[in-house]
Amino acid sequence: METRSAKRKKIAQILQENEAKLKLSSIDRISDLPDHVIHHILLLLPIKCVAQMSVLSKRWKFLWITFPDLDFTTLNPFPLISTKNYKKVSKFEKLRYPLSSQNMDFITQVLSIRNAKNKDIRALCFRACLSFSRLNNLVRNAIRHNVRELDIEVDTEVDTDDFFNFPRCVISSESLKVLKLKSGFRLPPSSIMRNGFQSLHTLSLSLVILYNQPSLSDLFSESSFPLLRNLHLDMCFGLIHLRVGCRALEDLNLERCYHLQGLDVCGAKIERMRVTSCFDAYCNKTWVRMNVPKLEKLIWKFNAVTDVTVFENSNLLHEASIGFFMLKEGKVNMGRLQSANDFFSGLSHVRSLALESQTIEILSKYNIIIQPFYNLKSLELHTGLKKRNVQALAFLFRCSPTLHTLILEIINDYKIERKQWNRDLWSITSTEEEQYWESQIPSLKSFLQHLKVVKIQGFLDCANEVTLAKFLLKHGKALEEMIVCSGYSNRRDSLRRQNIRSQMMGFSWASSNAKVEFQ
Amino acid sequence: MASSSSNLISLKTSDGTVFKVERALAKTMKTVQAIIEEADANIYMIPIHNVFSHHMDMIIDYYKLSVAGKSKEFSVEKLDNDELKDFLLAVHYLNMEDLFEVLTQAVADRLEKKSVGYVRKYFGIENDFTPEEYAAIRKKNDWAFKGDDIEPEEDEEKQEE
Repeated sequence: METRSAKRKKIAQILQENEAKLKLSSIDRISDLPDHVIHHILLLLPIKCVAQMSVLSKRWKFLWITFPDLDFTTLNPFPLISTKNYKKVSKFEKLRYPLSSQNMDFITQVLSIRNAKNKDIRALCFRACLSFSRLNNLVRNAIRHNVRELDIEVDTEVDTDDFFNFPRCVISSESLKVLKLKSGFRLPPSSIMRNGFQSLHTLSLSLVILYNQPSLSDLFSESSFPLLRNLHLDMCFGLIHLRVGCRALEDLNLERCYHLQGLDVCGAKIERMRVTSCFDAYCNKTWVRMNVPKLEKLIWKFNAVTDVTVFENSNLLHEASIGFFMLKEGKVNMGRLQSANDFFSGLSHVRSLALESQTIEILSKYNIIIQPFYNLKSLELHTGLKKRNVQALAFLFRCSPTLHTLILEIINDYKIERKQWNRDLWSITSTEEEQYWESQIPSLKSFLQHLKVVKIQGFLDCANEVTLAKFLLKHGKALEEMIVCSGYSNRRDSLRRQNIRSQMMGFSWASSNAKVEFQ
Repeated sequence: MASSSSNLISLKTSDGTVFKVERALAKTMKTVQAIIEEADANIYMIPIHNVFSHHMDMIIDYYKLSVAGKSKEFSVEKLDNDELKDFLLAVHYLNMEDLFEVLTQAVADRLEKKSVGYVRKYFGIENDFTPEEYAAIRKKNDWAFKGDDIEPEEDEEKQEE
């Protein structure tokens, strides 16, 4: 049996051993990862954290002063819009509190601690409220550090009507590859801008004041911006004419240019184009010209129908989403109808098409003759499916002779009652709606022979959609699947729904393979 | 450049265990893929240094989950910092992009929102600054220590002197 002192000695020994083990195990665990791996981890953290870790050890100080991306936007997560810009911007933009200017001196500090060997920074991003001279100094400082990506959102300190001038030092930078600038700023004349930006591949300009140069016809020409692949222009106030012809451009995104009257896009490499909320709806001399042979994806939404459209056919067009915008009191004259027709003929090779409700309203109201979409495999229609829309739908089906998938998104305006499907009418051989669809069968022959999948969302058991669903089941020879998603949320109507379902299932279908799924 | 006739690749970890993995999984390891492509003849066994069998177990787990579309269910919470760091090094050696992103994010999550003193203790980073150097670097990055979202520092540097 051990004596007490022997026991004590043993315990002391064990404690000592544990101490030694602890000491060993507290050797640096994370730091034997290589530098670039730690950088990789640090890039996932807010910059404040990373800067704090610079005090941990000499190596960590080194990691900080060689840190490639300086993203200060994590310091103030909300975007800035001052009151003067607020008036110009749509009423749905929220107002945020601007950041005070003294907070931005540390950016200069951070840049200054980088030594000569590790001067270069890869990216600099910040949001601030600054005077122009401060902004200019910061940008110049970043350019001196050969910055490759600049992402800046700024606003002037004082709430005056003054706007920034574009910081010209970026124009001649040879290292700058990405420039994103959001502010209320004026562009310098094209002659100055054109000769620079030799390395730029992405440009995003937001809140640009162009009243003094409403026509940007030679800024984005074939010879300027030689490496530009992505161009994004947002809220260009006063922009009336725009021509884009940059040779290397692949992606064009134009939004909220409400004063635009003329758009000319000519790009041999453009693959994706997005134009939303553009064109002056009150002007009757608007035009668009598009020569984009390699276009694969087009999003054209909330744009007023232009008076003239020249849209060269794009054989590679894969996907298009079209939503014309029409003023409530607007009338579409003959010229505009022709223009809409020309627009659609530019889309004639598309494989997947989505049409917004206003576009379908225009098609419902006016007789537009569209050439059939021979390659169309998927058609998505957003519509209120009112009585007047039914003919437009039949017309679109006629134009889609080899359609594979039809998606109908019914927009239910609960204020307006649509004609409910009356189960008493079941005994009558056919309603007016059914008769209409039956009359369309000859012209829909090809459509009915190819249609495989139908998906209807927002199904409210109203006459129009029940009739259509019935019609497609009754005559869709190739139909494989029909998915009906109810727009109802209350259980009160579940009995009604069950009745309608049993009615729909209770007649012979053209396709024996068809399956109907209710969700 | 003959390719293996079977769909399984044999990988030998540093502790000697042999894992037979699907070709698709081996493809996610760019290092292994490069070895396979470089080999002139059929290669029977590929040794993977710095990778232990418990790492391979987790890699296979991750692969199975991601194939089933459940990659978000993969968790490294049960690993302590040492183990996480070792695993990260193994995955880095194997050059597996997706899993590397997952692990770096996991480490970042463990580091975020912790005070400097906490991070130092947690990872056992030794302070090799002189008090003057420390004061200088601290002052230069003063701005990072200001603000209401910063936890008060645990000033154990002073205690160490």
